[in-house]
Amino acid sequence: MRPTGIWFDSYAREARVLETHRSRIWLLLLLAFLLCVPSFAGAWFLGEMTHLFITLIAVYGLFVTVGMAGQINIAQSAFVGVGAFTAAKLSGMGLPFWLVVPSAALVTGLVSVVFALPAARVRGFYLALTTLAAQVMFPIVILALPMSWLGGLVGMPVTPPSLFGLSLSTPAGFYYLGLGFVVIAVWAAFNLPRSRFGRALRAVHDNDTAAGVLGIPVTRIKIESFFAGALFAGVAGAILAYFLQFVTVSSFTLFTSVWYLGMLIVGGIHSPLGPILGVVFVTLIQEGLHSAANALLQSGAAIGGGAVFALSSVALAVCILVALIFEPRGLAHLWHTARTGFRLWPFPRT
Amino acid sequence: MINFLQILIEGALVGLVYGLVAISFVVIYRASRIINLAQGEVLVFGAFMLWTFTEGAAGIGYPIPLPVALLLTVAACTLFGMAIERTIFRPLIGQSAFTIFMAGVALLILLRGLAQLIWGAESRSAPVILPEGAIEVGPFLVNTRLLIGAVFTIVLTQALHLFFTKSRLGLRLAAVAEDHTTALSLGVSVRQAIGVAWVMGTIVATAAAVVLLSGSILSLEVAVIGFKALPVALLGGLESIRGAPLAGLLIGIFEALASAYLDPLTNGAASGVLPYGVMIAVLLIRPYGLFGWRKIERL
Amino acid sequence: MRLRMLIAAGAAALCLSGPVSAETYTVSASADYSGPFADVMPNAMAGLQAVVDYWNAEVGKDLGVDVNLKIYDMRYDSSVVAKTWPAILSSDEPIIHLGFGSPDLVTLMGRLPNDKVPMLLGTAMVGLVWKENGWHFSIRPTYSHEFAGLFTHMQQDKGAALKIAAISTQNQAGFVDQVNGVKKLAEQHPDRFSVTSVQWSETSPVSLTAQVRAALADSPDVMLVGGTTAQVIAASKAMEELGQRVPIVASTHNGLYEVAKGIPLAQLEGSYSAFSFAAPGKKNLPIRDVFEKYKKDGSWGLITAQAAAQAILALRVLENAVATVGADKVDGQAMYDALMAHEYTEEQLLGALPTLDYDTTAPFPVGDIQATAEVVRGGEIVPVQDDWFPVPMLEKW
Repeated sequence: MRPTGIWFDSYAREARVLETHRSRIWLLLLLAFLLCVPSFAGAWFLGEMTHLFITLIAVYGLFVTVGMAGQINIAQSAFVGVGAFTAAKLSGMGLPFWLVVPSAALVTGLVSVVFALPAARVRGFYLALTTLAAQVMFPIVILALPMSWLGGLVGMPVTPPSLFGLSLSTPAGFYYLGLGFVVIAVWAAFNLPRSRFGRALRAVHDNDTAAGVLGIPVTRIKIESFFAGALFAGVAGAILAYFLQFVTVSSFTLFTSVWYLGMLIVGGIHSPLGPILGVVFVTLIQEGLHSAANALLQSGAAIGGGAVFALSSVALAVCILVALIFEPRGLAHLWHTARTGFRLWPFPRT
Repeated sequence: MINFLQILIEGALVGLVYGLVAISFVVIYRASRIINLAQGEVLVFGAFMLWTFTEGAAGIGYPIPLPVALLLTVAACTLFGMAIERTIFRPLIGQSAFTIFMAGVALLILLRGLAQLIWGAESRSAPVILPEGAIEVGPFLVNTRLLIGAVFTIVLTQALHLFFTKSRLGLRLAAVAEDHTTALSLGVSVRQAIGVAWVMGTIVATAAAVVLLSGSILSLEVAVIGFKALPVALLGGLESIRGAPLAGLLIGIFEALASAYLDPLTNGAASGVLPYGVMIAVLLIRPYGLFGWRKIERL
Repeated sequence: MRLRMLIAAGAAALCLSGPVSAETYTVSASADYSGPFADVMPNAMAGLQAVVDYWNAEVGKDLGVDVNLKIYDMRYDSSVVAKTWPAILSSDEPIIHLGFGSPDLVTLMGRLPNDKVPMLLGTAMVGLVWKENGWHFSIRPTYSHEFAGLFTHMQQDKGAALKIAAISTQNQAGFVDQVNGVKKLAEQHPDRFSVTSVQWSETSPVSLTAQVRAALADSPDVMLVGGTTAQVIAASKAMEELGQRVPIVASTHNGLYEVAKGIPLAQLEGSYSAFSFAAPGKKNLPIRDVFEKYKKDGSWGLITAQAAAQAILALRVLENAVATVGADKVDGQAMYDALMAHEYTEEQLLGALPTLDYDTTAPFPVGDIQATAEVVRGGEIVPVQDDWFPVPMLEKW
């Protein structure tokens, strides 16, 4: 619902993501704020934000595969892991981070294609099972490979990134690294639905038989949706590798994949704004509970600490169920409704 | 030769336990078309409820005789199944398969959190319900607990098969498994179907937990076996009750053979990857499994 | 403006007029309240806190030093450690970090030399992180060293070569490493030890009968099961089925107390748990008395003993650091130097650990490494002997 007085005289203007001046100013303010955060925030907050950025990129990958193309993917954490291990290996060979990250993304994309090939034969839930197999096999394969390939058992250390000689391994450095890639990811995700590829994904999602009849190469599009989603995952994995400075198999579990899916659902599967809202909301809940529990711990009440942490799982699950049952379009829809109500005020929203 | 046959026997027995877990998965799908990713957690929940009525009660001074404890566990499983149907799946009747799948995902997270919340993270001893040890059958040694589990699985399979194909309720459930909305329009109560499905699924999962954990220890890690059930269910066909133990047999035997002959070469990776390799092969070659209904659309 | 000046003046007056207060240092600690060790955390943290309270009351008061123990839940997850560590560094400025398990180890290993804060772990090391010039240390050597100590003792009793069968799992890097270390022991002393076979299983196996049968085919003297509790239980049950019983050697996390929850101790008769801090059941153990005197809650057990040993070593290092640089100038570097420069005797450590000596070649005590073990005798868990076992030198594997 556009505010009054907004009209367009060319298609290009109408197709823009940010239609009004005001929304563009808000975006600039947000960017400026994000750039200034390290000057007043502490190390813990910067670490939180970096981790949030990494998760956001991974969830955007899920948005492309699951939200736009409708292909369930439970292996996103394994793909992030593939990106992380690739980045560790490549950075160990001496490549700078602006080469490592895209290469890790490409390798992850290729690996995901292998698991998307059954898309030619099956659809829906059965494709999801292939991704489940990928997720479960990931740790076994990595651990069984020889030590010199991928560090096998112990994982691999990652050399810290540096830009023109400036080391980026300070909390602020990681924050900017994450911020840079998040901006690219968000820009890509918002523009993807408007592109030809994005419209093909949408068609395949709605009704793939009809899409096939209209001449869209359905199998190829499905595989490409996995590839695109895995590109995001690879980028997230590479940044995570730099952030953790050591990659091991145990950081990339099925539970994490499920968590990503949960965040996507809570935020809203079909809207590009969904992942941002979902990730921020869930992270707030999780960290809120965690900080409360840490405070409990340090005030001496050691027993009972365990219960508070199980609460974050329960809280997320309840959020997902509430979203599925009452608002399947997620927080993004709630936001959209609120914004429309605001723009129409004092008239009622019909 | 004897060694080889012994390996086969052991693989078969372990495979039938997988089959039992897979049956609980298939029962839920067969009766309500709900894919339950959280089967492992449901199993753990059932095991914890069993623990509460046996060791837990004994621990606080109220020992309950075993048959009564088993009845109480069955009652608790029934309540659990009905609660899940009421709160999670009833509002989602008629929704897309994707939504129901995501509800299963949410259930996984929820059950894991709840189990830790209610019972805590410690590992605890599981009640000894089945006899330990092994019996000699000729030159072969057969684990008693697994043998009883295997016999139980076969009997249960036949009983469930008869239920689903011959009884009125079973046939109504089959209608729901085809399509919720159509079944509703024909006057079949989808709510009842989902409730029955979850109750039966939980009880079967608890039975599987008894076989798995009798005399061992119970911890949250046990839920991992739920993911073994998926390839087995897929191989047998998601709707086929009789296919599940058969598929379990096959996978168990292959896993045992891989463990005996391939693991020393691959440092243990072969038997871990095998079930999932089989699953991918099944998806590529024959997605509806050995005995499933041929409904999987292929492009 | 006037108000502000008044407040500033008041604060200055307070600072100048107050009594000389003790120098407070922060010791940070990692806990795991929601991962695999959540069940033992309350006891572990109680152990840490009791020893810190003891030290503050009886030693720190005289030195003018007060130690503040800050516990953080790291959820046994490397990304939580990676997120939280920079904040701990900047806001708490800890002098030493008491770590718990491999997430701490792998995430902080690379950073600590730059951050200049040493880390002391209570869990055993693995060969994979045996690196020189690290700032990460453990009170215990590697799992393989601990097993080697017990094996040496058993081999001396037996006289001839000791045959060891191993059951391990692919799912965790540390478990595979344990076996590699024991293989190294056999390589170095082929006349005294041999590894007959290595069987693989899952972490929660349905049945280990096939693997145990294959392992027993070579008539081993002991079976090493260093992985999970479920594996030890399954191995023991498999041996009952097959009618042959061979002593099982386990570690602390899957040790006799844990396994006893699942099967009766009588079935474990003759099986061992190997580690290298003082057995909680040892007769004369000053640190246990300290814990009982200063504890707020929690009970004495294996993990409490481990945590208490970890804390007492860290605090003795602090004493040496204070002696060297003074009570007000202690920082991470001073702690590191004190750890390297001094030997820590068993009496100083209240009997919790053998005499320890550290240097830059390894993240665990070097020199005369000693270990101990507990065994099930007569249906009860008792220490194998009162003295420590010497551990043979193991080259890096």
